[in-house]
Amino acid sequence: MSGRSAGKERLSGSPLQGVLLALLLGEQEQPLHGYMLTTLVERRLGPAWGVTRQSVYGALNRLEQEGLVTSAWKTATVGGRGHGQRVYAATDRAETALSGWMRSPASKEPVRVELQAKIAMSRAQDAPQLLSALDAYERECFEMLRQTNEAEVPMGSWAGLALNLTRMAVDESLQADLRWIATARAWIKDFLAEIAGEQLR
Amino acid sequence: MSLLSLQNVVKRYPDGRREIAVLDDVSLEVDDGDFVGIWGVRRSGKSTLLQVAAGKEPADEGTVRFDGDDVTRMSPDRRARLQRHGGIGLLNVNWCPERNKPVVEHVALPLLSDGMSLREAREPAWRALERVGIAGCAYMPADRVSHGERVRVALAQTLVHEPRVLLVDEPAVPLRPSEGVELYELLHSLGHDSRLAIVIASEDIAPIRKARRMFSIDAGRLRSMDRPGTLVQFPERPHTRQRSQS
Repeated sequence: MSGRSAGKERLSGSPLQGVLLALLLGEQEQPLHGYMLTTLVERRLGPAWGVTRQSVYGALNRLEQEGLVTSAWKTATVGGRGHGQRVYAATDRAETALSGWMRSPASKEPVRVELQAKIAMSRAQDAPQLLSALDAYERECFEMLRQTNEAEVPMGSWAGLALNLTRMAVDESLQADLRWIATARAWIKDFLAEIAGEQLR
Repeated sequence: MSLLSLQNVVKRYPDGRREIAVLDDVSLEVDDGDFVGIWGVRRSGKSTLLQVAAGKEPADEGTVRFDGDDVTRMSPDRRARLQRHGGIGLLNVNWCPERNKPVVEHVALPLLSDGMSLREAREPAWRALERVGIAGCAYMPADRVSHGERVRVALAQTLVHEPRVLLVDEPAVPLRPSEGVELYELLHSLGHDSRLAIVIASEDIAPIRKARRMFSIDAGRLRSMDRPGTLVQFPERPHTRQRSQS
């Protein structure tokens, strides 16, 4: 991984790499294993990100290939029995790469909601199924809202500000989804009522 | 028996030549110490639901009961008493302060309407201000307090009658986001500490995110968003910033 000049480090791939690098730099005293990192990512970003342990290990591997993270095997003792754990630590180049990531422009993610695809491809006779799908999607939005309640950080700290801003972004997105559901439901019902009225005439 | 119970409530308003159901077969049970969040877009029926639950608007069909008593069949006098003395409090965040009138006197106003003297009413008004964390503003002119404090004054005025159910309509409308977060935590801790039942209706999801039970209202239809068969634990008391001593 040598051969890259200092100050030119860039993070490739997903924002998860930047998040992991920030967490490892924040815990320089103690290397962290993958399970702990997954828990920390979930706590900081919330469940809306849908972070899996697999995606965390994938991002750690990429960071290691780019020379921004090193890993080592460590024996941990649990219940009197030792077992091996792979722990990760940030390298000297990580700080520059993290600053570069903070500076780099963030791109708008594409919208790929399955329900929108279903509506786009639906026919009038699919309306009852779409109404049920909208109800189910609404429940999912509320479930996600419930899951984002976990962490409590006192107001007035930077960590509190960052957490509240992240949570607000999720809130705004959920609110937009819920408003869209209400509109979609009303339009579909109005359309069905109009058709029923025409059939009666 | 629930503290507040709405059963198959229908409320209609005229819309041109026809009538539309603003509340369409709405049923809702609220227990002591409950925390209920209702999310809905504008004109979904949220405010009407709270007005009917508070006994301020009559239902066209169905029943509204408070502590077992049928609110829909009460005399106007008895219904008015229900909104005082350990009954139902409906928070109005959009009140207009009188110039130079101290905050504590604003909070005492409902007690003065009950025939209490200002001297008698100051003590409970002061206690209500302490509960909402702005006792330090008690003698400030009410028209000089910040937006965030103004909402808390309104809250203290609603709490001065020690209601058992607090109904809150769009609490965040006049607030900055950071003031809103503090207010929601205050509402949450009020319910948690005193077993006060709270129902918040909002088109913003932040005020209801900590609700124990959540509903969505759409075209007057109320839908439960709770997971069936799941017992939801009351969350831990959150950190709240007390400003009374500052």
